[in-house]
Amino acid sequence: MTAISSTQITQWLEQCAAVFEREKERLTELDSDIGDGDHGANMARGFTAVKAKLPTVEGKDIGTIFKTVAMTLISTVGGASGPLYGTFFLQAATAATGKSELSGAEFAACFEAGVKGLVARGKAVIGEKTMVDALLPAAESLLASGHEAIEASLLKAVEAVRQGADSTIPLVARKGRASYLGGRSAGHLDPGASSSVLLLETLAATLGIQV
Amino acid sequence: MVGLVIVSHSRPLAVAVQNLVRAMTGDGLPLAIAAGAGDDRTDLGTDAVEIMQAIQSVMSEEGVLVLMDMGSAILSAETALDFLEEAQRAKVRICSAPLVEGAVSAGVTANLGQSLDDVAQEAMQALRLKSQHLHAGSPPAPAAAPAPKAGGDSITVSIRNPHGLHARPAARFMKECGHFQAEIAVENLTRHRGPVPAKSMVALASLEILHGHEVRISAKGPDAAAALKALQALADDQFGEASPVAPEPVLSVVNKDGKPAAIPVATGIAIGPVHVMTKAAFDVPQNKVENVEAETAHLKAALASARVTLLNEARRIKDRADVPTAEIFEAQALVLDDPDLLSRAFASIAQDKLNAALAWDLSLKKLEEQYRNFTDEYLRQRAADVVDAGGRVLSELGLQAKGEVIPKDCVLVAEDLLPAEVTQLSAGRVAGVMLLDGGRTSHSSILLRMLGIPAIAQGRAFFNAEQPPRVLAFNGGTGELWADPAPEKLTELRRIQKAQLEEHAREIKFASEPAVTLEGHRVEVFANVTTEEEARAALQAGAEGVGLLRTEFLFLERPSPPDEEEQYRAVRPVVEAMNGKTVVVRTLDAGGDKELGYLGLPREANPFLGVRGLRVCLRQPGLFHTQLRALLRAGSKRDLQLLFPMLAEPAEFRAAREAVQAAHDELRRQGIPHAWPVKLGAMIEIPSAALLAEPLAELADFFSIGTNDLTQYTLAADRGNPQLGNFQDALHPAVLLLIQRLVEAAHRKGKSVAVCGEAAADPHTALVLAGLGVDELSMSPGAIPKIKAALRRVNYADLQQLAHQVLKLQGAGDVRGVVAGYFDHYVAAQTSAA
Repeated sequence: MTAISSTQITQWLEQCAAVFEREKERLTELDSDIGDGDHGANMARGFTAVKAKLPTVEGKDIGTIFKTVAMTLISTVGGASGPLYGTFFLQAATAATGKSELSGAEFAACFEAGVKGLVARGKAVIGEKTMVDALLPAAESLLASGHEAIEASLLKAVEAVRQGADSTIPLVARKGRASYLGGRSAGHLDPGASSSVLLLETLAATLGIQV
Repeated sequence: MVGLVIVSHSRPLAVAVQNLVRAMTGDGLPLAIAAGAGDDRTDLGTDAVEIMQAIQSVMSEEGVLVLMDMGSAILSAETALDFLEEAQRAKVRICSAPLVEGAVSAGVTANLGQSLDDVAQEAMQALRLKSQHLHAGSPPAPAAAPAPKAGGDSITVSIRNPHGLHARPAARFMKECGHFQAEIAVENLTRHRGPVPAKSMVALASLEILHGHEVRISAKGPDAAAALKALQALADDQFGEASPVAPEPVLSVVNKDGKPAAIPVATGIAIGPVHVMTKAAFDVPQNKVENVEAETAHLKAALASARVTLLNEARRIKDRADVPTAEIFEAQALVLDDPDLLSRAFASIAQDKLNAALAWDLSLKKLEEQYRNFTDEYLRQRAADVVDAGGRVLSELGLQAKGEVIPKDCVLVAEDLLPAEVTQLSAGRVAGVMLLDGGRTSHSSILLRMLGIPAIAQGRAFFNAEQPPRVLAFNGGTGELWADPAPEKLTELRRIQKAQLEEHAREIKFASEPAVTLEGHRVEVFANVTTEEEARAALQAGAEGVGLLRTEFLFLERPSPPDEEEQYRAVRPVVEAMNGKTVVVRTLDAGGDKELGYLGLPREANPFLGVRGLRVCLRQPGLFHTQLRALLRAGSKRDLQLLFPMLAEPAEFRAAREAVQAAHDELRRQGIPHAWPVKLGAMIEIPSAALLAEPLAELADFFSIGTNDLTQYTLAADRGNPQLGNFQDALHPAVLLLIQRLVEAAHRKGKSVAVCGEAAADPHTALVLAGLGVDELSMSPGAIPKIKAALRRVNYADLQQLAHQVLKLQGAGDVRGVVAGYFDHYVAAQTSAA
């Protein structure tokens, strides 16, 4: 595979609604350990709204699709993940304007732009037990392997995002509600990082890549 | 009228706040809420689009203040701002005031027709009344508290430090206790542990005092009340971590291109197989001894010496304004004072007849184990401090750490390196060093830069110790790193590396050549050094002299000042190492953060604005006289020059000059060889001295500008305060205007001007300083080749024009922008052309 089409992007985002609905309980449980316990419900609400919006952008370019996803997440998620993932898709959209398909390198550039926007919005850096811990390594991996086949590139990205998320387990949270717990947040997987893993895994699954 | 927007996760809360405000203001105030998530807004959450609409609904020419609760409310409010048109966005202020109190204060103020600035300020002060009411005149000891077991008075404090009473705050606490005679004990009421004496670090640590714990501090003795008062104040200040927030080691994780990056420490590309360094281990002799007294004395001496080393290290780091790191060394020094540890070690010598090293090692291991068993992660990590501090004592006892064979051309990965370990590396042997911890300003990092070994710090976030990469590549100039890089990346990096090495080779080759601009204007390049080794490195790097030899370190952390002989013996080798080149020695710069207990100076509210530098010396004529004698002797038959720090006005220079004359007269009478005549310089750190350059130029033989202090005093911005970064840049036009004035006055009288602050090592700043007519730049030796190379690529006339241009700007950021543009255009462009 050398490119991801707008149809596949739409399928991915649609699939996310089902995945977050299915994983709602687990994410909420993770978030209850160290946060306010709403992450699962928030993400499910956001992507359900996204799924409802997707038919309105059928056949549009990927930039428009991402932009619509962004605005929908921003106004429906409710928690911090709303503006964060919203900004992610908004910035990714700017790198996908007018494109009906994305090559591996183009997808990597979108992803990188999204992560940069998200980092700027949340002001988190690596090691603060946030989704940044998962997303930054994934972005780096995609950039490094963007010239390879999509399958290989995504396989590595999923590996990177998983490792990144796992790296949050021993960390002490410094951002978000979990930071109120200080040292007690250590030993738990960060729910935000965990939902980042789901996003990439779902993309891989949508493209038929075995991860 | 200024409009108000209330943002909350909870719709009912926002409505209630709205009602509270309306009760004070009536219906005239433009007020809107944005709260809740989900279709009917009954879920908890916030919505950036709703916030944007709320802002627009109350928008007017006067602007809008947005108040919010926490978390996503803040992010959503910021996102909402992004959606607004530029013109509207400029009129919106997001305010960090507490939601309820802030909204009421802001509402009342807005209703009076005040400006957005006033409304925002009033909201920010909303907590003041409340906190004044609750904290004013509260008795130091709660009446209900039962009498502590230790007897005497007590206070109960609630620990607010995020990591509890970990090493640094605990060290501050113990230091404060040390000021009093009272017996002070600490009890963790939350964990029901203690009381334990406040003198023992381990005992304190064993209480495992974490964030939110209630702690009772009791004191018994003549000054118990005063001690408790001081400790209460310290607790209120969160043991020194309150303000500014003790900076966590900064992880600059994304560089300007958005790539993951560690902290850049020393420039250069490193590529090589990973070698993870194991902790130094010692071969401890296992023998028993007969002479218990000798062995005890042995250990005591080693302890004292290790303690001095650590505190000196702390002082040096403090000089570089890295207070948190310095406090780690101070905390390590406290480990060596730990009564439990000491009694255990000395008992092992006395009772078990163990040799000093073995006794120490065993006691240390017990202590380390105690730390490792703490449940709190942060305390557990402090075990490394114990090992480190303890290892120094073993070294002092003459033990050698087991040498580790470091493979050639590897990328060495270590938690941190001791300076001694760094000196055993060399640029040709290892490809580079990645420190998992550490930072730019550590002694080791400075050494790495001096040795030209590419290095990065704070790499832990990128390094999986369980599954280390086979090959690691990084760019020490940007902090970017790649684990097991792809072949394409490797090729690219190798290409950059080759270009850099060639460039470096050129710089080194020409390092000993003078720095002359294209049309022949010469700028002298000197080095700042403190030791003989650094002086040698400076010569190799092409230093044309020493522009700043500090002398403070001789005076710190000791019960009495060093005598003339000791000072002579410390300074003479540095002067000799410079082979007859100029050495500018700065007389004692005590005061400020460098307290000298034996001087008996009164405590000052603002030490940096107090008796500091020359002000100390002129008040302590005996101390000054001794130093001047030692320095004049150390300069015998060499070009030694003296520099007086912290001058405010010419009268001080006259007094200092008389003191030098008196020292010379006495040495001459005694027939002791010494340098004479010597040139005397005025250090320009205080704006008043720069403004009085005209009369000072009549007196001084030369000037030397301390940019860090001149900047901090000009802009009233503490050089160690991380929140004031843009006011700590010597490229600020206000500072440059002072320098311009000074240079002009000096040159009219034929006197030279040097800059010996850190700023001289920054190529951009160096070019502007040269453009202003500064004659000499003095910097850390490692920076010399690069600065010389930069100066050789420019026209002096261009630099003058550049300097002239930036003097008209209004802030350091503007200056940086203009200089960077010039630099990229001329200097960098010429590099690639070369």
